[in-house]
Amino acid sequence: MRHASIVAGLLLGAAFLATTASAAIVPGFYLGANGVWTDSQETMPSDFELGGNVSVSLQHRLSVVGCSYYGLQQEYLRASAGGRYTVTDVDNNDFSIGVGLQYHVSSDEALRPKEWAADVTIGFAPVPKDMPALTVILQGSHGLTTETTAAYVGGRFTLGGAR
Amino acid sequence: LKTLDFLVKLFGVPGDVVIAILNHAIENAPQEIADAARALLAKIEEPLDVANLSGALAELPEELMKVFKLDFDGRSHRSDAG
Repeated sequence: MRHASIVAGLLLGAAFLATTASAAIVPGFYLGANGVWTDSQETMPSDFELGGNVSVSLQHRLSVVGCSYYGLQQEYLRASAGGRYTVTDVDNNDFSIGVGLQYHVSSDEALRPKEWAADVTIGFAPVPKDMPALTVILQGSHGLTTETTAAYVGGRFTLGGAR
Repeated sequence: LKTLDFLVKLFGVPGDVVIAILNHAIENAPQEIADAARALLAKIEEPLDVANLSGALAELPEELMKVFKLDFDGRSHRSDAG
């Protein structure tokens, strides 16, 4: 029931933002791979993940983001969804920073507990001319319940929509 | 120095008080810094146009964004892929 309320709240928030948007929403679909490290290795061990991301840019700085990844070593499936405030460098449109809040769920709560987590994400294209679909992601995430901090380093391949 | 003058106008601090404080600081500063500060004080030019103060304040966020160069108005952000 609590989770349904959270999801309903997220959907209502997204609907509100969509109605205030001055132009059409811009979706993005990505395949990705992450290395993840945490400051609590006993309860949340490091792993290598494969999965995908979805983003919907509702306004030029507000986006709804979500992802689902599978941890290859601990064999868990996790997902998260939330909102993000993003700014992009005017002199380099292939470099941006976002600050957001996401709700995390997983198939193994002992390894990846359900919780809200605040995150800061840097995204940049290392070779935008030769490989425009490639984005490198550096993300720091702090769980508001477990107070565990996780660092993600990953690559994304854009399937469609946004870059 | 324009910033100093701006602050003086904004907060209503008497200019002579500010100059007195600066002179006191100069007296206790190393010789090189004191000389440079005196040279700067000697270059104080006309004060800012106070009538345009509100306009200057209204432009401040935009100016700050230019400083940080993070005012991209697009809707396709690399970090949204994370």
